[in-house]
Amino acid sequence: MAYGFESRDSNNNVVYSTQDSTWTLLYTATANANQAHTFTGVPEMTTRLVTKLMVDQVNGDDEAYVHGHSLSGTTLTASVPSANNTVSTFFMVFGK
Amino acid sequence: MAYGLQIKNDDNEILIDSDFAHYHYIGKATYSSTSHIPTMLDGNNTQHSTTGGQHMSSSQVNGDIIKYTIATNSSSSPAPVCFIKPSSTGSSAPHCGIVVTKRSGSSWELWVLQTRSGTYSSPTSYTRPDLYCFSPLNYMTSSQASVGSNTHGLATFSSSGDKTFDSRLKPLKIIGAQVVNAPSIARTASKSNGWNPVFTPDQSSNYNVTRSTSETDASDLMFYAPSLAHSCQEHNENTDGDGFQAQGYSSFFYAWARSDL
Repeated sequence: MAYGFESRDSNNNVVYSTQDSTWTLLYTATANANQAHTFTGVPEMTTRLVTKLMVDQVNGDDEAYVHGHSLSGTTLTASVPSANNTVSTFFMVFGK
Repeated sequence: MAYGLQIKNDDNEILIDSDFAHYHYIGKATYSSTSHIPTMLDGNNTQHSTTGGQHMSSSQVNGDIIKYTIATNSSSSPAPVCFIKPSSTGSSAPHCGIVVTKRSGSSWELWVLQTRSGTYSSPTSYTRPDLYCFSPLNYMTSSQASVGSNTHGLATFSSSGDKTFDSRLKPLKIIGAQVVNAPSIARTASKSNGWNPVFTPDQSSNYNVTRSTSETDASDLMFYAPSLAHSCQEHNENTDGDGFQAQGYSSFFYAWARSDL
């Protein structure tokens, strides 16, 4: 590369380069089972994505739902689609 | 940012930011066990039985739940991000996704649902996927955070002095992302086969994920696919008649199965 940034390991392999692209983890939060939440202070970037992961999902054959969500500005809102069957949800907000 | 380090790429997108705790590689999750699904396959509602054979059809395609564990340094650590490296690629490769993530002390247990070709009564062999797991640096065990004698690279620290990035510890580089939506129903074909329903999903959605051009070797790619919802399939059968059983002879058979993908 003629200009930019490269980080290399001890074997001279490129670890990171300004020719790369990645998503940076901006924020994490855990919404408790069957509870709505409003999380504030979410950093902003030009493009953001939210991923959700069921945590401690009920084992076996039981009905279970992940939280719904909306992200606006610095606020992440988590809603419960089911009052009794919404499991704990781990949110990750990525940005680039 | 008022201070610290921020590196942007050629497209003016942030690559490294010392304010954020970047995820780094903590190892492959350790395989523990495999079980078949759906769990009710070959079950029999004997209390309401009129004739034998009231179970899901053995001709349906089934899958496996493959369980793994990965250690962190704390019982309050956030769930690790575990990427699936499938055993094969291409149109005939099995589908797989993480369907359960639960804490076990300072470790996390992960369940991967993987489709299995063949049928329940005549399954084919399979190879389980590998799970490559990532976590923020401050939740790594001492062995995961060890850099040994390696003194090459770049590290960043937050304003509170926590290390947020270390190029020696294989920082996660996400080269593509895609929002996907699951089909609204797992199976549109009839499930009915009398007392032996078939729950094999026949609906799927295909997506193409654009990845950055700096990564060209498809065999090196892996993906993160947490499950967001259960897809429950139901089937009812009933019969009327005279007789004497605990529930009478108006028998009712009910079965359902999960298919989270």
